[in-house]
Amino acid sequence: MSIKIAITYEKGGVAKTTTAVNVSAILAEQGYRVLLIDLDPQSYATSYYALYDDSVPSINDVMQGRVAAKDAVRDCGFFGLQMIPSNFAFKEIETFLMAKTRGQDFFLKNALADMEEDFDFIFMDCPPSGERIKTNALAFADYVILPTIPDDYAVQGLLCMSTFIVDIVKYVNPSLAVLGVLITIDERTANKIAYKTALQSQDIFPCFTTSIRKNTKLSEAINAHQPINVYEPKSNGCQDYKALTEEILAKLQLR
Amino acid sequence: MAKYYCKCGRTFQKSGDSGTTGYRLKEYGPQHECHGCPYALPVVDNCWDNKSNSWSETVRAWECRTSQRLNYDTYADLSLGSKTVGSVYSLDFPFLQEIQSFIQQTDGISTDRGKPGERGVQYGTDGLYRLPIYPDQNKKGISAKQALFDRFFLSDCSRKDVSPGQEREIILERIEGATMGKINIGNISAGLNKVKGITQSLKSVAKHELIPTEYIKVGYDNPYAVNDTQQSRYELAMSLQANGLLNPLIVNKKSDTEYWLISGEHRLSAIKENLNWPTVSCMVYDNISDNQAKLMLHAVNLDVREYTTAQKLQFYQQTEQLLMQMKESGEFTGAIQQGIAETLKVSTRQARKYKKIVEYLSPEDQQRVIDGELSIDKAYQMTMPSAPPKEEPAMKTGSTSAFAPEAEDESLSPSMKFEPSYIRMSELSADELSDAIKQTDVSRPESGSASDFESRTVIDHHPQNGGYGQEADTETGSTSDFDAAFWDEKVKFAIKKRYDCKKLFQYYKSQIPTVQEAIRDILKPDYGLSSGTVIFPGDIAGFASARSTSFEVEYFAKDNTQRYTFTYSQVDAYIRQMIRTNELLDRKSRKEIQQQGELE
Repeated sequence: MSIKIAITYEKGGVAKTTTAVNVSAILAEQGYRVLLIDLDPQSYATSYYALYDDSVPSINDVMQGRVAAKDAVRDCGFFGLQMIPSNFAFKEIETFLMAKTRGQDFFLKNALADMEEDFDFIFMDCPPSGERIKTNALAFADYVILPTIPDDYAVQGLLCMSTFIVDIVKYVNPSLAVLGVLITIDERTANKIAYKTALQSQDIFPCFTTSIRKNTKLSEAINAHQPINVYEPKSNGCQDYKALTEEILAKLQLR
Repeated sequence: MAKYYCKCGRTFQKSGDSGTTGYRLKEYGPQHECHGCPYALPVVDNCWDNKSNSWSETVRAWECRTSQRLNYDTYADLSLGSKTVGSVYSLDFPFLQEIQSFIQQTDGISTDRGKPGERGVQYGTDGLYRLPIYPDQNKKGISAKQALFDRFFLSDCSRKDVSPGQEREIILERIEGATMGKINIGNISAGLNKVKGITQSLKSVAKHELIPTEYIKVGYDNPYAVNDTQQSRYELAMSLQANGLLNPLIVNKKSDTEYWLISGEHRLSAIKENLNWPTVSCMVYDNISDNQAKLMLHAVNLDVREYTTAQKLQFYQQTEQLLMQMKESGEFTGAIQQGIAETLKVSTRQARKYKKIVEYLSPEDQQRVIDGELSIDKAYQMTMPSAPPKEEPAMKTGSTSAFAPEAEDESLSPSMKFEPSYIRMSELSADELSDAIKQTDVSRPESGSASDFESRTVIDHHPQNGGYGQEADTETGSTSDFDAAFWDEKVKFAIKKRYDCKKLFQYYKSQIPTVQEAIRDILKPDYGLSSGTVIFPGDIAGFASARSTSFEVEYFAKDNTQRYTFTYSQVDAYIRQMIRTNELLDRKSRKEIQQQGELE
């Protein structure tokens, strides 16, 4: 059985994709069998690995039952990391799900049920918006990671997120657990330090002790279409994501 | 126009094309957003003061020295090996001070005194400040410059202790730390508290698990299990064997090997006694508080087992106690009665009836209600005339019973005996009982209304009237000439004319309102005033006005007009009295309404 982790947050630009892409690549480098699922119609994770292609099966086809999940899986070209890509047509999934009267929360789960045996980890990169697709991701996931920039939006975002998660746990997936709040784009400014301290000392959700520092190498790596552990293994960005990966493995008692 | 950068990275446009320009900080002071920023510097006018023979400085304005380009990285330009004046360019003032103190301790080299950045000549390029280094014009000077360079700088003229790029962070942090000392930590924690409030409800989400049978303990006292027998357990076990456990048990996880049962005692004991199941399917709550678990125990049992409203009375006290404890500990917020009603799944009105019954009736009578021998409504009526003794000002000294005056009244049935806290009515048959109630009710106003306002004192001390008695008292105090014997009758008549008696009767009987509720719901007029002519008995005209704050009755007697203003709590008391004494409606209408109620 695989461990399914959704990376989601209500706000855009908080390094959801960067986290999904790099943590899955680092785990793959360590020898785990990892599947990355791009659930964002804007397809940033797909284009990160230069896999954007309208003509091949995508998560859209998988969820709508046109293609079996295993036929949509593609190789990212790094450490055997596999991916189910997305494309812009995926935005229609909200309407598709809306029209379903039964089990609209479980389409992803059902479509991917067969894949679980083949992977150790399944990462889901969620879009900032799209109620149904996120619900589907969280219905399938065991854990959720909440990346957040330590500023006032973080608290507001957490407020929205917690409302959402409470609903999911109550009505859709009672075994869903928050693996941690992840502080991203961290800088040593007084404001961010204040919010970081507050986020790390709250006892509502666990918070990763590792925070991801602001690092230009991470943006450069997108341009190179390479995960940070390939593009610049010595960079702060890579060190941070490696430390995060270790922390995740420790939390899952795999270390 | 050119774009200029402040040290904090903000930009603004200004005409001209100079390398640096001052950005004036208008009304600079503690309220200014840049206050405290190390780069907000005074613009100083120096004048020679002839009197004191010295320079005097006056601060003309404050500014941030901005530049068209902004670079945060310190660098040294020392022209090593020569005797020329060198410079260190930096925005890191503490670092420049470090260099200053190094220079002070070193022979052969000197620099400007004073705080870095404070003098105009020190503006360097790219927004940096310049610290000039003056070597002595000899070899000592040259080597001192070299020593300074070796101490602080790398061969590429950058700082030793800080890597390029990092300095920007340090400086921005310093600016933000100085100016944003105003970050409101309270805001952050208030926001997080809100999040906490939302996630709190997660605690009460159960997870479905298979739990080893031996781990499940009956920890909480379960008043619902008393009727289970070995026979019933056996039958249940057989059914479980045939159909499996259709609904999981509900447990509270205390530890990994201890789960306290919340719901399913019957099933659990059936399984333990008759079936050898190693595990049982359970809905598991993760270590919720004992009080909450007990409350849940009530709720689920009331869901599953069927109880009449009367039988639920037995759970009232426990539920109330639990909720009170939880309210104290902060686990429960809201109205206790509301909580009780929700737990027991009855209306709040019903919960209020329970409260009265539990407070005023003997345990024996309560048991009779539970057993169905006495209806809830009857029992509730029995609480009506009773009042806590300490609230009875009309009480005669020396008498221990609140109802001593009535007990002496000959019209009362001799079997009626009152005890201070509740009425023992168990000895009476139902018919006798209702008669007795009527008798007490009728007798009270008569026995009490002999002198001025005593009748009202009795009214006002109906348990539900609470603090309103006092208001009535002050009312009487201020109008010493109030003739109760005269007005009682008039006001009752006016009330009957002004209000719809059937509606009143129905409302009071069904809603069991408190005084405040009654005033709000039905007594006060909807639009501030409702008035009209009243023809009193004896063909005497009058006027009754229900105003927004008072109820006014006018009586146009032949020679003089009498007028009195009543408070609504008084009106309420009159109505309650009239209902008790059956004055409000005749027997026929009462019966009609009662039949209607039963049909509903």
